[in-house]
Amino acid sequence: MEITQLPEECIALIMSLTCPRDACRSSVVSPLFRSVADSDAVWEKFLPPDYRNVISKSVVFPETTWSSMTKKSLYFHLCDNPIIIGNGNMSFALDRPSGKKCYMVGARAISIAWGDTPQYWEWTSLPGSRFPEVATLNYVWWLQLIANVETKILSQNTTYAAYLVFKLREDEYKYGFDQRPVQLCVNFEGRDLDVLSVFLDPSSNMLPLPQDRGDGWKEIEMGEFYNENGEDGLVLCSLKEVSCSIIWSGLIVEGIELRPRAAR
Amino acid sequence: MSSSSTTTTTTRLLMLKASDGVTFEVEEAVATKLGAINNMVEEEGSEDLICLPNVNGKFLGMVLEWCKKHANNNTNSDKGNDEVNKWWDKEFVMDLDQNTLYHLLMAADYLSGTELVDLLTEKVASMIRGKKVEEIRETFKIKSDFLPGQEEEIRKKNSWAFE
Repeated sequence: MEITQLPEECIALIMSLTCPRDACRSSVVSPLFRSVADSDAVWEKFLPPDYRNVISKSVVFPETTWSSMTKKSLYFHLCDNPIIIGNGNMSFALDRPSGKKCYMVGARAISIAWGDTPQYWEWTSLPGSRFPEVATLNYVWWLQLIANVETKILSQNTTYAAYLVFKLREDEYKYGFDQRPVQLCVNFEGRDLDVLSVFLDPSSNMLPLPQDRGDGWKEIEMGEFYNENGEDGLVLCSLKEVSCSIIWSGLIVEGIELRPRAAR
Repeated sequence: MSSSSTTTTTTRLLMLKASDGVTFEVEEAVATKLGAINNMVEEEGSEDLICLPNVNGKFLGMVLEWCKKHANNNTNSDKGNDEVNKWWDKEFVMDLDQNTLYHLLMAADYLSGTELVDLLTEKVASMIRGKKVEEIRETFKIKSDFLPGQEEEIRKKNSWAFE
């Protein structure tokens, strides 16, 4: 007996135990493999179990649109097009290799010290941002941003890393970030802090270097954590520099992104 | 094997008859690990002979061997059982040729042996994981019968997987 003599449901069951990359490769093997490897039965398993619930919170991506897509198209749509959820302050996407959930907490949902005082922080709309508003730093002495994410919304048994997604102004209003490091930290609420001290505008030979995301923004890793079963409450991602020894200016914050670390 | 009459809990024996007429005498507790047999026992009650026209003796024997091992391992109450079962499952599927693997999978599916289906599908999935298209074809002896140009087109559509 050959694998091709198994009922298609059986081959689909097998295929759903592989991963998106394996299924895409399988679709090139033969027409039978293709029909199974592209099937909704397989891709439904690669989507997060609660994806319906999550994307139904989006106003710009109505059910009438996504329910008519094949599950494979929907999968890749969600990898390539983060959808805005939660009052427009958060975005949701899928990690392409694993299908795990990625979220970006938009600047509006980050608690920013002095964020509501226009003298210090301004809210502007940038054409290159997924969110309606980003936070632009005029100047502060006390630099502090904290994002809270509930671990129960994240994929389970997954190591996540958090990234600050930002830009620095190119003009004379950029100040401080090449002179002193800021403290980045990711931890569960109430647990010990593991702090990284990094420059957001390092000279070229200094590590870590912020990475270009390819969407006009830069990112720098803030830390990582392991989400076992979503029962660790809140995870806090923070940026701090509160020594008040220097003035800070010219930072533009789009948000803080949480995405799974690539399997090693 | 019949159970001793001196024990207070006597185990009922079922007779399972395969498509080729081969019969197996199995303890009820073992056979009912298979959902389909469990249903038949519950629905039909007193019937001791169960005919299974879709499974031949060779594969039914192997399925029952698996059930027996799992039933025995699970009667011991210590926690090492999961480990023992895992180790034994690994041995069970390790040297199966593809023909046997697929026949067993069909049998396990027909008999609603969920755990065994999981074990066997996982084994086949492990033969696909991380492989190139040509390696998958070779593993499963599949000829590509796409029309000319079609394969290239599908490759392009899924180009991400080939990066």
